[in-house]
Amino acid sequence: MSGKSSVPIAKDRLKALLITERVNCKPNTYEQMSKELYQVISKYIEISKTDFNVQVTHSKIQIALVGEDD
Amino acid sequence: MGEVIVITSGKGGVGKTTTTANIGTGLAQLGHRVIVVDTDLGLRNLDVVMGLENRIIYNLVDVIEGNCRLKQALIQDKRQHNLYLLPSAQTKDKTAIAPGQMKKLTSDLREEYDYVILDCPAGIEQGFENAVAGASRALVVTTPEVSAIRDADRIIGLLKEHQIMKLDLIINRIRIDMVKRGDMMAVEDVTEILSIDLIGAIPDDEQIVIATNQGEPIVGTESLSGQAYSNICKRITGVETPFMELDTDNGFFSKLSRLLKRN
Repeated sequence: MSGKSSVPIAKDRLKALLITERVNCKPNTYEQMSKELYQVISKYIEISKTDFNVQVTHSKIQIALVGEDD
Repeated sequence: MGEVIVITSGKGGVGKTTTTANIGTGLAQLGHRVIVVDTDLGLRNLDVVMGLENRIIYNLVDVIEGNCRLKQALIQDKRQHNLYLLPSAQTKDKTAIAPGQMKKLTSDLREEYDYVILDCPAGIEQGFENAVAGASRALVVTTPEVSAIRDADRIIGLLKEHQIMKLDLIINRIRIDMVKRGDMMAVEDVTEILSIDLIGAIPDDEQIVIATNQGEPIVGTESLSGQAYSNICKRITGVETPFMELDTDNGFFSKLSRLLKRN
């Protein structure tokens, strides 16, 4: 046991869990969606799995592509 | 016309039944006519928490099936004469009641009572559907644990799907010593995660165990948890009541008791 507080761990785990559960769809939908998005984006942009993270907020999906202007 | 309130949590063992008994009693202590209904078919418990287990003749299923009149199944509380219990059946058949029948029953009950409090079973199956069918308001009970909070979040989603928009949160079994060490989520941590308003927080209190052993309510006593339940009842009726300090460590009496323990 470390002497550190366990509350931040609990909160982080819960927040991550509830974000996906609140999307209100089948349990594996989030994983499937992440996989497909990863495949699509990696066709065009070089990305690694560790950098890739899909966040869904309730009833609002935002995909932001950050790049240089022409 | 009374208000129909369902007390629910998703997860079992977080204190729904104890909360139902104490809120029912507390509202009755405020002078309201109250009926508490145990909707957990097969696992009857509200009767024993209230100390009324020896007075049951008819039950919820008997009323629904027409084996008796509603009045015959109601049990008057030992202390609060304006408080009644409609006990659940011990039948194993969880489909003995349908949501439509519960809706009819609760609408009959709200003609006569100011508050109809429904103790919802754990889970999200038929029992949940029955319990929420006639409710216009819900109190979601959770404890500061990841499993209970996760289930509470699911339940909040389901309640909204059922068009129950008046939702309030009760956080039960808070251990202030653990919160202080940073090993239990505080009230603010839980409310930050769950999206509904807090109506009360109840400290983990061994007096509740003792009271339940005896089939007595804790609300109305001087204990911290008893006061917490009283405050929740006032807030239910719309009376603004300040949230009390759960951390009593710096109070005179706890200082004194620590001093005495030391010696």
